Parts: sequence; C-alpha cells; structure tokens
Amino acid sequence: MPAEIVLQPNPNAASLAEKRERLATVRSLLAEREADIAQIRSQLKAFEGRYLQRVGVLYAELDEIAARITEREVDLYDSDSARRRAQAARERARETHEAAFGGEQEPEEFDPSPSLKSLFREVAKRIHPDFASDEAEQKHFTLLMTRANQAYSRGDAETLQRMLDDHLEISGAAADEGDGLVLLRLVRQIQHAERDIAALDGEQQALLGSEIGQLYTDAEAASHEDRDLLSELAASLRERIADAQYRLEFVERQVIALGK
Amino acid sequence: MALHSVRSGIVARGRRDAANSSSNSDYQKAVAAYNEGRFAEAAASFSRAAEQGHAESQYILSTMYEVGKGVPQDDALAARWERSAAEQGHVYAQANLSFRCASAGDLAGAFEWCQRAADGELAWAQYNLGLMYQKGEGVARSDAEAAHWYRLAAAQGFADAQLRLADLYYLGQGIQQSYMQAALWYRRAAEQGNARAQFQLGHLYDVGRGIEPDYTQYRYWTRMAAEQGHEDALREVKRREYRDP
Repeated sequence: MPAEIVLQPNPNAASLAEKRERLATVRSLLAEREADIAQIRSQLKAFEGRYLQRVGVLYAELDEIAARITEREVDLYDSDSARRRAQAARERARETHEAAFGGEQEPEEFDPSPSLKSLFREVAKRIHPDFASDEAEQKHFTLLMTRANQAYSRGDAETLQRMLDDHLEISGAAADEGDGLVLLRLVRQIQHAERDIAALDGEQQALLGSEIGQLYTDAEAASHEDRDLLSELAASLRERIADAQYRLEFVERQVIALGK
Repeated sequence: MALHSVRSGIVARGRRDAANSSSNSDYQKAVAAYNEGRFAEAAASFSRAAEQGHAESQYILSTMYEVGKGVPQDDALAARWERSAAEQGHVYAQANLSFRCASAGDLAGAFEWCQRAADGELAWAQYNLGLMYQKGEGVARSDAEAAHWYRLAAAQGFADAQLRLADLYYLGQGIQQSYMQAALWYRRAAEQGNARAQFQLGHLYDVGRGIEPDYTQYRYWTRMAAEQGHEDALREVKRREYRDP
C-alpha cells in the first residue's frame, strides 16, 4: 500500500497565507477610505462654493451697507467714537468681501523646492505601478502613487518622507526572501495600512467637524425635511439687507437735510 | 483641505444664523402654543429649541423662568438661558444680562454686555451705555462717548436719549455747545411727550435761544409739561398766571 503523502502545509506557510489575506483586506479597506475621503472633500468643496455664491455674497453686501451707514454717521456727527466705529465696520466689510469673493484667485504658482522634488522622485520610482510584481500590488501602488502626487502638489514633504520610510522599512531586507523575512514584511505592511486608515479616520472627523462640514450636515438634515437651508439663509439675509438699506437712506437724508 | 481661516468665519456666521432661523420646528410649535395661552406647552417646546441652540427660544425661555410663566419661577435657569442667548448675539438677552449684572453690583459686566447690545443697534442699550459713560459706571467717565451713544439712540427715536443729547448740547458737555441743536433734540423728545424736554423747549422759546422767541409756543410747551406734573413747569405756570392771567 503506497504510503499516502499528505501535504501538510508548514506552519510558516499557513501563517504567511493568513497574513497575505489580512493585508489584502486592510488594503482594500484603505482604498475604500481614501475614496470616501476624496468624495467628502469634493462634496464639501462644492458645497462651500454654493454657500459663498448664494449666501457669502449677501453677507458681503450687508456688511458693505453697514460700513456705509457708520461712515455717513461720521459725516453727520464727527467724533472719535463715530470714527472708530466706522473703521471697524469698514474692516469687517473688507474681510467679508475677501472671504466671499477672494477665493477664486487662490491657486498659487506651484514651485516645489529642489529637496521636495528629489524626495518625490525617490518615492515615485519605488512605488510606480509599472514595477509591481502582481496585480494586487499594482492596485496598491496606484493608490500610493495618487497619494504621493497629491502630497507633492500641496508641498507636503512630511507625507512623502513617511511613504519613503515605509517603503525602505519593508524592502530593506528583501534581498534574501526567507519565509521569516516575508512574514515580517507582511506584518509591517499591515501595520502601515492600519496606521493610514486611522489617520484617514482622523481626517474625516476633522473635515466633518469643521464649520463647513457642520453646515453641510445641517443642510443635509434640513433637506430631509424638504427644506433648503441655503435658500432660507439667503432669504433672511435679503430681509436684513433691505432693513440696512432703509437705515442707510435714512442717514443719507439726514446728511442732506443738514447740508453737509 | 486648506480651509481658509477668513472663510471659516463667514461659514460660522451662516451656521449661527441658520441655527437661529425662525423655521426651527420646535420654536414654531412653541410660538403657536404661547399665542394660544398654553404656556406650559410653549415652555416645553422653547426648551427643546433652546437645547438645540436656538437663541430666540433661549431668550424667551429665560423671560418665562424669570416670572414663572408656564414653568416654576427659577432665577438660576433664567440667568443660564439669558447668558446662552446673549453669547449668541441676541441683543435683548444681552440687554437683560447687562441689567442682571448691574443689579448684582457687577458694573464692568453690565458695561460689557450693554456695549454688545448697543453695537447690535438696540436703542435702549445705546441710551444706557451713554448713561454709563456719563456717570462713569463700569467705565471711565466721558461726556464725549456719552454724546456719541445718546446720538445713536436719539436717531432711532429714543426720547430719553434725545433729551440727554439735548442737555449735552445745551451745556456744551463732551460736544460743541449749540442752543440750536439743543432746541432741535428737545423738540423731538417733547413731541414724544417727554415732560422735561417740553419744559426745556418752552424755556428756549421764552428766552429765544437757538430758536426765535415765541410766547405762544412757550406757553404751550410749559403747560404740556405742567399737565404731566413737571414741578418747575407747574411753578412757572402759577407765576405766569399771577402776572399774566
């Protein structure tokens, strides 16, 4: 009777397979999170644009009229306090105007420092998707490449350096691929992915907790009650603008009446 | 995301205004209940809206606790909701809080909250801020500052402020002396039925300061003041009847 050869996977191989599976899971979770964050970021960006366009400009108009009222009051009755009030109102109007209209010319000239450039090159050549050994790695490299590109374009040397360190830590001992080393590498890759997920969670909380994030949440809640928060805000601001306009005309009539 | 700091200011403002809009459903329920005299129900709804940060509800709730309307009277809760609303920029709550501070002997606090309400265009607060400056309560005495705040309240038609502003013009305190301006502001207050302003206006017609002397006008305004029990005016009327029946 031929001795049956049962292929018993050695414990190391079992552990390796398990770690590989775990790495694939956390990496796909990481990719999902990155996509989520990107979506939230672009939703908030678009919402902020709508807010500034429909509400922000009205605040600018309101503050402009308020500044004119205080300036006319100085014309009417000049005094130190009247002038201080007018200055403060003018300053506020300027800030609001800048906040409401100043955003468009924001993209500054992209001029990376030589050190950032070479750091980016160091990272990019190690994670280029073309050099991936299998399909899973290629997918992961594509994600890393996107992240590196974003970090580079916003001049974020810290993130680039961390990505480089991650890579060096993993591949430092890659020359001799004994099972033990492969295992160690997998463990570290899992740790990196988990750390990145935690960082993304933190970023998501910061985004949703920011003023624009909370206003967005409020607007979403209102829309579930069939209300349009931005329209309501705009309507009440238009009323306040009409009030302010009336007060401005009143003060201007006084200035004319006093022949100043 | 690089959220500009100047922008987050304008966004925060929108959030505050949105949270305080009159479309808050608990607030609407509360107002409906209040108008129908169901105060306990109104207080409960105002409480819910107040907890959500609705400033107007917080203010009304504080006044209900103050007098015990729909809820058991409770000074601590009245003060708490008044402060919440005041901190959100509710001018009436700021004015009430200023009054509460003054009653507790905290003049600096009274001044600070009054200043905020005055900046919010509340005529009563502008007038009171003028008084604080004139008396040096919670702030260094300054007739010039007093004149400034009286004028803002006076321009909104606040009779007491018109009277005080006229006084400062009459005496030339903190402001360039002018009988003409004094007469103008005494008249505005007098037309609103302020007895002392009526008496003062009568006096200016009598002596012809800042306006052409006019005996009929003098008699008219002095009588108006006397009818309200103004003592100097009563004396004046008696003296005039003796000499000019």
